[in-house]
Amino acid sequence: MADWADLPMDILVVIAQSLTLIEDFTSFTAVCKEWKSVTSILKKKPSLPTRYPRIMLAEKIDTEDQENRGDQDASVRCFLNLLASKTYQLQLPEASGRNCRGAHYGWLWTIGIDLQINLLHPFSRQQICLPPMLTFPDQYEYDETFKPQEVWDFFVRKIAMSSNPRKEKSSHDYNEDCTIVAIYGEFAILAFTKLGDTVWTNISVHSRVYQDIIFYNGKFYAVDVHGVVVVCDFDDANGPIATIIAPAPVETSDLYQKYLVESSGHLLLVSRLRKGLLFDDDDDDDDEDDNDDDDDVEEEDDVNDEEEGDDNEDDKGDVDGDDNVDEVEDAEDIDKEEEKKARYYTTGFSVLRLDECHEEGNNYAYRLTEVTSLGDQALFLGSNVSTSIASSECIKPNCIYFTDDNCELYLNEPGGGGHDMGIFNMEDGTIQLNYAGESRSYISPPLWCI
Amino acid sequence: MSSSEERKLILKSSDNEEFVVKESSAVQCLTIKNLVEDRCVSDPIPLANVDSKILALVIEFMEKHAETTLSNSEKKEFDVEFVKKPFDDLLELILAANYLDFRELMDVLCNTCAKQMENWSVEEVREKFNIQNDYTVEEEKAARAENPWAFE
Repeated sequence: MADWADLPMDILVVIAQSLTLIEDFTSFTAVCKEWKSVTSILKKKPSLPTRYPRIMLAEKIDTEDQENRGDQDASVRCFLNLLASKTYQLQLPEASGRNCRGAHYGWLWTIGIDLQINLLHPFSRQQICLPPMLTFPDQYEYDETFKPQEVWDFFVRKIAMSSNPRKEKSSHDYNEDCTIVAIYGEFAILAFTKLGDTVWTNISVHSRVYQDIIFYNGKFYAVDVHGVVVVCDFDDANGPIATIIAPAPVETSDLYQKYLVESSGHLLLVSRLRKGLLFDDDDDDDDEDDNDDDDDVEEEDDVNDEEEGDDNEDDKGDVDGDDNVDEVEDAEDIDKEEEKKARYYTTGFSVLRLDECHEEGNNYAYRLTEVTSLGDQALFLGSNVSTSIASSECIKPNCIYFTDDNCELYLNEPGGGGHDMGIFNMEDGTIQLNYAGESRSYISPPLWCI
Repeated sequence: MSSSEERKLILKSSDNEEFVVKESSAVQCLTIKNLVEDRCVSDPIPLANVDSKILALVIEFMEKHAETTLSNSEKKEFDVEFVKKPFDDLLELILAANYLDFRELMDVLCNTCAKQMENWSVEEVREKFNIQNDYTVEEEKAARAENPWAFE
C-alpha cells in the first residue's frame, strides 16, 4: 500500500506550485524539512495573495534607538494583521522612500522620485515595471522651476488591474493579458497600459477628477468626483472611451470621496464623508477641485526639501508589536484633541448600489438604489483596489475598513497622513480605530495590502 | 493503413487486466507516447505499477480529455467530479499519473491536494500525509519567525 510520506520530490513541487495563498505556502514549508527544501527548488517565493488583508504601516524612519540597526531600518517594513494584534517585519528595500499604494492580488504599486512605476509583491519581493510617469500623455507644464520631481508623489492616484499580474506557475514571467488602468495627472483622468507596454495611453473621458476604478465582470468601471459612473470600452473604432452608465447620485457632494466596489454580485458606489478644518470653510477648500491641484503643487515647492526624509512624526512605539490591541476603542475617546487639529477625518460612509435598468425611455443602463446593509461582507477602501471580503473570525460583517488615502493633503497634515483610518459600522454609524498606534507619513501612510 | 485516430492500444494492469484504448487518447501519457514513437509497442503494453482499479480511472480521465467535442469548461466540470474521491485514492492516482507521465492528470490531482491542504492546519497536514515532524522546537520557532504570515 502506497504511503503519502513516500511522495517523490517532483510531485511535492507540483503541489507546492498549486497553492494559492501565501499562508498555505508558508504552512507547507512548516510541515517538515523535506517539504521546506521544496521551496529552495522553486528558487523564489511565489507572488501569491494573502487570505486576509493586512495593513502595511508607513515607513519607520526613526532617529531613536537605531544604533544597532544602522541602515537596515529603512529597508524593513512593518505589516499588521487585521486584529492589530501582531506585527510582522519584512525586508522591503524596494518600498523605501517611495509612494506605495495597495493594488490587488497581494501586489502593491510604487512610484519614486526616479519617476519609475513598479508593481511590487511584498512577500516575494518580485517587481514588474510599468511605463514610467513621463509616458503618461497629459503632463503638467514643466519648466526650470517646476519639474516632474515635484509632483511624483501624487501624479498617479490609483490603479486597477484586469487580472493577477503573475503568470500561473511561473515566478519569472508576468501575465501579458493583464491590463492596467490608472487615474493620473493634474485632472485625474484615465489611461491604460498592458504589462509589457512602454507607454500609457489615454482613455477618452467626458469629465475629469476620477476617484476610483475597478475591474468588474470583464470591464473597467470608474467613478468621478460627482459620482458619475462610467464603463471603459477598448474596442471602439475611435480609440478607448469611457461612457456613462448611471446618473449622478441625487444627494451627494463633491466633497465626498467616491469609491466603486463589487460586493455580493453588485457594483456599489460608496461615498466617504469627511470633516475637519479643511471642510468647514468655504468653496476654496474643496480639495478635489481642479484649482486646488495647482495650489497644492505650489505648496509642494516649499515643503519639498523637507518631505524627502526624516521629519515624519513617528508612532509611539506600538509598531514593535509589544502592545496588543485586544479591543478597539472609540475614536472619540482617544482623539478628541486630534480631531480638532486634523485637517480632515472621516465621519461616515453612504452606499448606493447600481441596479440594471431595462425600462423604456431610460437614458442609462443602471439606476442607483440606497443600501443600508452590506450583509456578511466587509469593504476595504483606501488607496488600494476597493474590495469586498466575506466576514470571518477577523473580519466583521457589514463594516467598511478604511485607510487614509487623501494623498494630496498629506503634506498639509501635521505629521503627515495616516491618521484617518478605522472601521465604520454600517449598522450604527460608529467608527472604531483598527490600530491604536500612530503611523504617519508625508509620502506613504498605512495602506491595505490585499 | 488506417489513420492514427483509429489505432488502438492494449494496456495491461499490474493485476493482468487488459484495457483497449485509442492510441490518440493514450499518448497523453508521455511514457506511452515515447513507446509508440520509438516503435517499442508490445501488445499488450504492461503497466507494472498500476492496478486495474486505478488504470480504469486513468483511462476514464484520459478519454474525456482527448474528446475534441468537449469545451474546456465541460472538461473542468468533469475534473471537479472526478476528484471527489477519498483522499487516499488520490495518492494512487498521483503515483500512476507520475509513472505514466500524464501531466494533465497530475496537475488536476496536485491542485486538489493543494486545495485540501488549504483547509488543514500544519498538524493535520502531517497526519494526513503521514509525515513525521523533524523540526526541533528551536527550528520550528525560527521557521515561524522567518515566515510569520502562516501563523496567525
